[in-house]
Amino acid sequence: MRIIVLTILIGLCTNFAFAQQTGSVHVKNATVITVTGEVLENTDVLVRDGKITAIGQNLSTPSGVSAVDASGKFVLPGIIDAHSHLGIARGINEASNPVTAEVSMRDVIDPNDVGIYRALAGGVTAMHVLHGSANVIGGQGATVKMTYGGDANEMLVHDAPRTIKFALGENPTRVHGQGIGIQPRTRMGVEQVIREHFDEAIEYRNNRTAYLEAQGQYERNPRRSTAPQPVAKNLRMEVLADIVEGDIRVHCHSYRADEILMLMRVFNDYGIKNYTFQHANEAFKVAPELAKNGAHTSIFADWWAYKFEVYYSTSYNAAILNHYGVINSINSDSDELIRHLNHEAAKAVRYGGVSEADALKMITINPAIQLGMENRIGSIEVGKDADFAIWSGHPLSIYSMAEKTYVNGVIRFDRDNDPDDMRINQSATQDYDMFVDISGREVDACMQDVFEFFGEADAQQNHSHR
Amino acid sequence: MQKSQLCVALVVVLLALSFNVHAQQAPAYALKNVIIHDGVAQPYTGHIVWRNGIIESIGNSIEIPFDARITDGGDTLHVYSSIVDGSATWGSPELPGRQERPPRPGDPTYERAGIQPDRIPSNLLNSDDKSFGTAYNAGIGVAALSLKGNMFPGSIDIYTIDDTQNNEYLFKSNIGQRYQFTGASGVYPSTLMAMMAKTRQLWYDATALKSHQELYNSNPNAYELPKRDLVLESLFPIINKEKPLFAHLDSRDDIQRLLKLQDELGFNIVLVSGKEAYTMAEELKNRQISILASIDISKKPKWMEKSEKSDSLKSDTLSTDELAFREKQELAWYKERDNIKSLLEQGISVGFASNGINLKDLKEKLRYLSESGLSESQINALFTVNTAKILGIDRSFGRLAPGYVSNISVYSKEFTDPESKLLHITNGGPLDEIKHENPSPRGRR
Repeated sequence: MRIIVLTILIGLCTNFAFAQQTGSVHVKNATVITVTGEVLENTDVLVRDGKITAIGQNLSTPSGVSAVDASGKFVLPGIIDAHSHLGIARGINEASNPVTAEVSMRDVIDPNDVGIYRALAGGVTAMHVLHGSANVIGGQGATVKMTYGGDANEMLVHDAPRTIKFALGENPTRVHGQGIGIQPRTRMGVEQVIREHFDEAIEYRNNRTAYLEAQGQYERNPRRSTAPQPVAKNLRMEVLADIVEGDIRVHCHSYRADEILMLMRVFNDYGIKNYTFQHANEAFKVAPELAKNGAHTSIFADWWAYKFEVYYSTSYNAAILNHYGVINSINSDSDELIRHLNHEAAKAVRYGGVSEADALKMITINPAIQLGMENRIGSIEVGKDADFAIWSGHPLSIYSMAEKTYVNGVIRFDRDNDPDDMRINQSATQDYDMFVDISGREVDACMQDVFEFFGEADAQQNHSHR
Repeated sequence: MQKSQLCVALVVVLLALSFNVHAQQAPAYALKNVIIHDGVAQPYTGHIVWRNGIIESIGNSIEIPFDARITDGGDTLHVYSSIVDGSATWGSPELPGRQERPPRPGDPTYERAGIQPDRIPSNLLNSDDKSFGTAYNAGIGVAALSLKGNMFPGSIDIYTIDDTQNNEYLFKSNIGQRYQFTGASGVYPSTLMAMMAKTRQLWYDATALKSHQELYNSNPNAYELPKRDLVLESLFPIINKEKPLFAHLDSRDDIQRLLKLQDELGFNIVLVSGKEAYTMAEELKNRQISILASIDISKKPKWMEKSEKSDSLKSDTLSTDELAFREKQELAWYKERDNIKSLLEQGISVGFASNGINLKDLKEKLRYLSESGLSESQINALFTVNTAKILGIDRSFGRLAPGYVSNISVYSKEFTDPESKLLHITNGGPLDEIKHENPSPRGRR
């Protein structure tokens, strides 16, 4: 009980800057793509204090609420990117150890990364910020809203379900096996690292729980018992034990079908549910098995062949997974691609004939489900967070642009006022070029910072393995 | 022995002692007819007498002892307490260059990981470092010195500063621990996120060890012998809130991260540098966090310097994007310049930290402080009494008052005057003439 009270107190204490800005707006006469329901013509969406309060025709505008005429335009729920490394301060890979479950992206959000503004311009309102893929078990993820230029604590969705990044295959074996000379050197080793750490965490949890119970007993009646010898809290083991106990959703970097099957076997052995395979280029080969296990996938629309383990893939991956009933999302894993995830979703229509409705689900409600956020975001429904964008045309059209993007009912991108760009928290020394340069898609975004970690000489050696 | 005899004997002994003390008394020094800037009062014309490194008397009607060596200021020289520097690393060993990667980089030694709170500056500082002389000639009389390093580089000692530095000048050791988000190269923790996690883990480990040691000491037969761990034990005073963490951070986001750790772990903080502290002023005040502020204000962006000469900000050749960018950047630069003023207005305790600044640049940075609207007395207090208070040495340093250490600097004019020049400085003894290969830090342009 003391621990629970302490936890609540800590939660209250850490609340110094968590208040999220909310707004009210009346969007009038739009084509509303609800995603979870019908497409509604000539429809209004009313937002009060950050929540959608009414959807219907000819709604009246409450006093004090601004109205936006969206005639001829489309309203789409905010796009959600289930895999991003955008807005992370000083390192996305803690590549020093194969398991770093204790680190968390929640600690290192950078709200001033201009990429967030660019993502808003592409209709993105939320993203899942992930650790890189250098480690078998990397760090914990963060679900954030795109409140650019504000406060890192405001960006964080504090009550979002906890997530963590795993990685299989070449990245961890290259970094730790080939790079450092420790386990895992092979895919077999990757599996063993996971199993060994789960077992160690279970043992730790038993010991720690026994200590806490004995300590509680002693505190309740110090005369009748002896204080137990302390068992220090171990942050890494705490997180691993929470994974085994089902309190943390796993998002696993993976490519090949065999390693996807391997991890499902491991998770079945430990009773772990609620997991998503990221990238999963060969997921189409094991789509029925994924569906049977309730596993989710979050994939690229059409990107592969950038390293050996990812030579075999297909643009029909999304369509096949969708056909078998796998909850699938299309992600960016790129600061550039995140700006036009609507185009990536459209490719699922082009390759495999996925319906427009299902294609849009892959960038809205499906990633929301994978983050455990489907009750708050991912669709236009009364009671949900007012995260949406007003598009100039149908969002799957190559000619459409997001004109206004709202997060919690507050306009965070407005194409009409883009030059004013009032949300930038400008540095006194940063060059203007930083805001106009944009690089293309990264070769392997999940491996950022790894080569710096190894130092220049080793970096050269490792680059040759890309 | 009768009572009267006893009294006579005592008087004789006391007289003898008195004579003896007088006979061995060190020479006194005096500045007469100078303008005194105490940092807590308005300037006034008077005299100062010091002996044995302590200010004996000060005021406009004091008697100057017959044995004093007197310097007459002619009512024109300005006298200040020498600068109290809240953070410097002069004399610190340099960081090692590229190091070998250990066999298990995820589990390095404390030393390799840069977690060294057990390091003590007085054991490691190089007294031959010419930085001490440079600092002395720049008007710095006392400084909190720490070591270069990574996340936990070591404890902090307070030294008085002189041309010839040695451990005799150590005034106070271990006033707290230096802490910064500086990762270890090639080993854990190398990233910011790992430093956050490692800080937590160090707390958990140290707390458990402390508890184990206490249990063992209370009943040795009931517990395993706790292992000694000097690194964790060095954190006990921080965990107990007996001493603060001197956290070297600048950005708003890093300050927020620190506050997050404070909420979770519970420790006292002195923020060092804190260039964006103004963005968190209210929160810092609520938490009663003092700041040893950097005055290393960024140079103006080139376009700002040019626009002061011509009106290029409003040039038709610029895009609306770039115009908007420039407006925000200009505002940001002024906010950075006005950081200390904003913090003082909020009621926060703010002192000064040179914190690696090139002392040759002090005059330019001081000009920025004046331009931000701080008065000369505010700047004087910032550099002296405020800093001394934050360091916990304000009963000995930072003021020109009887009983205080006679760290005295003599200027040709008020130090905020652009023409002001540091003429003399003393660290307790005679006035040294300033070697002016380095410019005066206070006020000269």
